[in-house]
Amino acid sequence: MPSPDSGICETSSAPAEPVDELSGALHDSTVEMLESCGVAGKKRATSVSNVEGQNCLASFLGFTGSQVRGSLTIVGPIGFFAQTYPGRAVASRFTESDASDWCCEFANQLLGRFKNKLLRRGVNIELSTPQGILADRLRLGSHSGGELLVAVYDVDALEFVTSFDVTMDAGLTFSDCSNEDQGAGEGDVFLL
Amino acid sequence: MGKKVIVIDDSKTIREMVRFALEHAGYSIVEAVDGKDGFEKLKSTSDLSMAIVDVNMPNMSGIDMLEALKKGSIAQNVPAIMLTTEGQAALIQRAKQAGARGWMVKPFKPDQLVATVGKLAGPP
Repeated sequence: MPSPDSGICETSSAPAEPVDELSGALHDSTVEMLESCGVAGKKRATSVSNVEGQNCLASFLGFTGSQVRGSLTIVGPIGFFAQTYPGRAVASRFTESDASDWCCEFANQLLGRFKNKLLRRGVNIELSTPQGILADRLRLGSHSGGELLVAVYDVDALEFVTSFDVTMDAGLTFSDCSNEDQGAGEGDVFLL
Repeated sequence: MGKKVIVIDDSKTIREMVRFALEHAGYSIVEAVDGKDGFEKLKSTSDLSMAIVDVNMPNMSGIDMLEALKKGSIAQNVPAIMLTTEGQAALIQRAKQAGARGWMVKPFKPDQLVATVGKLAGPP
């Protein structure tokens, strides 16, 4: 792991499995995304969720790269998206259309964070544009034949689910240290 | 009416957040839902002072739109900043070559957006 102060890379004696690296990067991205929306999320020890029986919003987008590809689906009740909506302080109302749009943008920003984390580890992916649905009795499934990583977060009394369907090449490797020179990070602003 | 700024983003949430921040600062806003819509509005609207452009959008990406504008010598006096989740150095370089003047990675802080627009477009 990189030393945060020295900037010197250290070789890990027991590197994590690629799927664990991806799962960790997605979890970190989710926690950061929730924090940026002013809420805290606690990941459950199990991936058992109650959202499947509820009236929920879901958004999904795909990604592809030379070593890794797949899709991210996020699911939550409308209340979750109302609570995290960036315009909640100024909007006079929050419609189903607002919720659906924000659900898509939430997934886009979440996978964007994940992409930027992978980029710093030497892995590049390209994202599709998100699609959203409002659904009753939604059930999540995997069709790619890859790994399906489902995580459930408790955000106050609401649930938020990430379902990450990923296929990795056998030779997938990550750089040993964070490469901050790879580009810009969330919140960065600069003139060109 | 303040200076006119176009925000080009497929997310209504982002367009509304940009609108709120800039209208509060005194600018007026025109919206476009993707690069194709943005291209047409930049082509047909003569008094735009600034463009805020997403990268990944359906129909036409923000960088493809800037490249098309540059190729057609359209709206070359309108400074553009990219507002995106993307942080890849190669994309930033491509946007710069297409004429982008700034890069912001979402989520954005309203005061930072207003300050950046003020630097490139001047006060409202």
